[in-house]
Amino acid sequence: MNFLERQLEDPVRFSRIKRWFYIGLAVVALAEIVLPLMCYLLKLAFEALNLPALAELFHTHPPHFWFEWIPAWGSLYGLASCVVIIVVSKFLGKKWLMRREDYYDS
Amino acid sequence: MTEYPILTATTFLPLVGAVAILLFGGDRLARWLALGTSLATLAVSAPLYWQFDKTSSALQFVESASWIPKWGIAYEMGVDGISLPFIFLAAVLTVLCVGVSWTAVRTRVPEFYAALLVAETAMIGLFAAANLFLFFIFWELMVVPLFLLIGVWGGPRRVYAAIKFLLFTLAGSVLMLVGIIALYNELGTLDFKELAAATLQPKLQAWLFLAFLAAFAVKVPMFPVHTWLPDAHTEAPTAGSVILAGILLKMGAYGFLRISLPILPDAVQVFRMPMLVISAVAIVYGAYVTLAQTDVKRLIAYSSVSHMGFVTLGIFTLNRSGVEGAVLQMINHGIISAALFLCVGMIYERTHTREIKDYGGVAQAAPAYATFLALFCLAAAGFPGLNSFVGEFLIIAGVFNTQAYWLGGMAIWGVALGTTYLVWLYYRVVMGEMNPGLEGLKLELNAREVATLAPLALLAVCLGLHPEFVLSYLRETVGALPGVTP
Amino acid sequence: MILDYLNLEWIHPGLLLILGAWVLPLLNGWIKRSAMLLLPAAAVAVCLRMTPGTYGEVGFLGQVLVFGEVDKLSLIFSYVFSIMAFLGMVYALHVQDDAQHVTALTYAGGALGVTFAGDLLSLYVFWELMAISSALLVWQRRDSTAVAAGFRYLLVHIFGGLIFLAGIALYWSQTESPELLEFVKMEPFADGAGWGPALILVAFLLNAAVPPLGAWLPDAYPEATVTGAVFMTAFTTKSAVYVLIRGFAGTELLVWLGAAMAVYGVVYAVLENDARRLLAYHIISQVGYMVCGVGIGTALALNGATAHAFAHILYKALLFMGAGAVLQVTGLRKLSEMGGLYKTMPITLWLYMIGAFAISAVPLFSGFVSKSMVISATGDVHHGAWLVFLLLTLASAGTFLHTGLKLPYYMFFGKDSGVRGKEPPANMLVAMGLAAAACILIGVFPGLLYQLLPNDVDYHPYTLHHITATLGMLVFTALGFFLLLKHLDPEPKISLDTDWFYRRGSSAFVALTQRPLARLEFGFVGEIYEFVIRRLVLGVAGLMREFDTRIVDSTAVGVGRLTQAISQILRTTVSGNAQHYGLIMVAGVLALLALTMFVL
Repeated sequence: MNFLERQLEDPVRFSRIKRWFYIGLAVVALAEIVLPLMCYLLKLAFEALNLPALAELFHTHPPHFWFEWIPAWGSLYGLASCVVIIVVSKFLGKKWLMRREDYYDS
Repeated sequence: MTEYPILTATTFLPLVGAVAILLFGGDRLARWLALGTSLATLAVSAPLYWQFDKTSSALQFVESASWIPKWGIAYEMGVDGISLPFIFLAAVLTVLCVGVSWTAVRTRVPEFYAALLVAETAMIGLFAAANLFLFFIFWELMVVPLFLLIGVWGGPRRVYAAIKFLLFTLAGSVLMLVGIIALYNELGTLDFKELAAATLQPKLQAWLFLAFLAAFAVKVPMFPVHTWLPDAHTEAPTAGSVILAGILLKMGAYGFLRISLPILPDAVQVFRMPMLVISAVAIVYGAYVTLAQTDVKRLIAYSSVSHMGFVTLGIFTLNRSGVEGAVLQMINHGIISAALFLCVGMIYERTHTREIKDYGGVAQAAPAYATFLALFCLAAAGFPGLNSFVGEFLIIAGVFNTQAYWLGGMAIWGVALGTTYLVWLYYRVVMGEMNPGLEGLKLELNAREVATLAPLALLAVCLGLHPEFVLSYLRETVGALPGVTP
Repeated sequence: MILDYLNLEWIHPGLLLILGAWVLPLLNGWIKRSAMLLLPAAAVAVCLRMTPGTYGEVGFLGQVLVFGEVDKLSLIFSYVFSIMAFLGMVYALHVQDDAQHVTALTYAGGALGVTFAGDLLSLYVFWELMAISSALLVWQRRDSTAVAAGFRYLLVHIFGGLIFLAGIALYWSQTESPELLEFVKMEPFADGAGWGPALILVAFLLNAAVPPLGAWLPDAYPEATVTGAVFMTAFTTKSAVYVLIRGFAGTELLVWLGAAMAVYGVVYAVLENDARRLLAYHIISQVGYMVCGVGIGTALALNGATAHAFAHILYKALLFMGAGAVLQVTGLRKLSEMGGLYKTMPITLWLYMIGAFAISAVPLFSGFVSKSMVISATGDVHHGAWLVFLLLTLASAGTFLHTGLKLPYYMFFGKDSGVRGKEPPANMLVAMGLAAAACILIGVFPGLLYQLLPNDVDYHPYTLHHITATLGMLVFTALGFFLLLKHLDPEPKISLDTDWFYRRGSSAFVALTQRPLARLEFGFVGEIYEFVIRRLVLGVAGLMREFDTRIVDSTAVGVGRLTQAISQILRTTVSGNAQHYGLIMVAGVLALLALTMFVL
């Protein structure tokens, strides 16, 4: 029984992993919203305090497109993309593209 | 020039050898005499290549003797940049034919080699001829030994194939003869130089063009008078196929270059487009029919229809690139077709079947053979680095220069099909599982056979990397052809 | 004569590999194994020592062929190609079949030849060499499906090569100075460009597996051997990207083709059951990023395309190595049959996951510093930049979904299929380890890669915004995956791609042409001889035979003797038919001579 097996086979450990996963989701989403805002505020603060070097440290490149300003944009788009891809592809597959394995053997 | 009449010597030395063989008889002696004579012919012709002046487009090594003064017909021989490579090719291929027939021909051996050598005389004589009379004599002379080669030493349907060959060829030659007579009537001379210098009425030119076309189109062969070729090539013995594919077909295209273009320039302009179209059709049609073949030899034979379509396509583009490519391609095709027929013949000697379905997995038992065949198939398909690529590329560039892009498209499609059938042939014959019918046969090549194939392989690679070897001879002469734009 | 022209101070690494490859079968035992590694290592060394310049110029057909166009762009590609050749040989060290090694090295050498080609003709030579050697590589598996797939692959690539050739010929006939077939940037859609550049573009797109010309890739790659497929992923498509960068940078069409490609690959990957076929569709997706970058054409975009190509070769090889290792050890290729392998193949799993993180652009891995360059460059697209950006980001999510989640889940985790594997041979693990190390190295020290890029780099991947956005996207994609897990179960089915046209569609076309052609040739044209000539002439011959039988008996004995003498030679069958045909010949020649003499 290697390390992974121990983690995944044991239901108690596995549910612990799942819990950490959900916590991680929340952390990342929050970080996505909070951190850039924090950096921006810090940059303004350092600029106001006349410390350009430290201000530079927290300089963030403004995003290029308007939708990137949406809070937690990455997380939202990630989830949306995943769902869209799965749904659309499966739809295309079922309606049109998927065939029996021996379709070409004639 | 040389101390001895080199062209006459090269032309008639094989004939001397043939007579010697017939006089002295005996199988073993015949073989060695044939080998000796063909090698001697090649050696005798060597000064031609070293001493040829590549900067001149005129006939060189001219030998002239009065023959029938009453009719103004002289015995005159000479070569220029277009005919010289063919003489080399003819000499080399004859040597290889002697080699490949060493064990394959077992009946009436002296007669066989005699016929082969007479054929060599006719071939070289045709390319060395400097007037129409000699041209025609050697043209007709060529038919006899080939008829015999096919009819006596050929395969199961040899009689049918030989007669078909004969009738087709003679039908064309009769019309050519009428053309020759008319030309003589009009101009009083049969010398190529004088004929080229004269001007003829356009209407007469047109009729003459058609008359000569009959003969040349059968020989090349152009669609739709090509049907003699598959039977003749398939039923002929290996040496016969090599001569047929290697040289005989080129005689027709050579006729266009030697006679139609210089002497009938206005007619050539008129008939250019139809000729281009027929050539393109031949390329694609030939390739398609080749794809359907189940007999290896027949497959290669039909592929010659397609490849010669390229040649005539190149000739009638009437530009430098196309014509040079066409002549180069004639040499290339001579080398590659000969090589392919040699390969087929060698394996047929062992298996006695030509059906593709009886083959498979040859590579496991005969790696050397598989390598040679791979090289020649790649070369025939126009793989860059090997000889046919340069010829095809020049022809295609020449076709695109004529603004008839759809013809270029057809030519490219022909190359695609060509590669397909060759790769498919190679795969079915050489790769995959070994066919049970081939078990226990000693398939690998022996030293003599490797020695027969090696020169062609070498030529294919050398000409592929350095086509200047041949192109340098051609340049001036092609440039001097009337109607050919740079 | 080539040696006269070549500057001996420059060795062509591609020729080194090709010629060296053919020496391999002659060696034995450990010498052979060392040679297998030394050859690509030598190629790497040669590439690293090269200085920019133009070498290897050879005159041919009135053109100057340039075999050694060395500049920053070709150098970076040559590094990654030669490194890949080395990694591939390490991975394939255990393979006994010499043919695979020879074809693989020839293939790699061909790719190097393409990289350094400075004119279109030498490019064409190596292009064709790659096509043939890669087809041979597919055939090495020797299974009937592999052979069939290899044949289709070869035909598609020959077709592409001919389009290329047509393009070259047209370009040659249209450029003002026919001496210049130099490989420079072309404008296919400019006025008066003619069809040449456009056809060349099509040929390049075919090799880059751009849909609809790309169906050959998922068709053939999974059919190759375990080790052969690793080689194949690297060279054909990336050399196509290289030539696109050199020849068609800034062609706007490529932006949209690339974006569409990126999504196309991802969509098909959802439906895939065969592990390596899924990865093959991902190649299409990733190359889409590169093609898109080429289309955008700015310095940043081209840098991005190059960087992404570099990183992609390494992590894709790692992924294929992992899937190949599973295939090798368990014999399984279909995801529906796998599962639970993490218990017995943990090292393979971890190494594979590094590759998966790299391709998904997880921070600290190579994809993060390369893919994002292209995505950032989308800001410079003239029309519809936002759509390109969204599509590429969507594809990134999809990439992680398949390579980082779906594949490992069904292969290594998921429901236990009861299959027990073991770790693959050591050399395969070493190769995977080296590739994984490279992925991490580039990710952590992007400067190492950036200094090799063709244009100057003013890009910083590790910005807070970028890291958080990427992490957010990845983690929430994972959420989506687990939520929709039930719908993702792989089904044992295949999906139709554009190869349908030449697999099903073409057989109908072929039948359509073959039958009427055969009828025309054998029924009609061939029959003309039968009906017109043979019957006519031989009918006349029959009459003459009657004539001859009667006349010979009563008149010219000499003609008879002559006929008999000739027929001795003409003796073919016992039927004596030859005599009569011989007589026709004689009669014909006599008639011709008579004609000659009396008409003149």
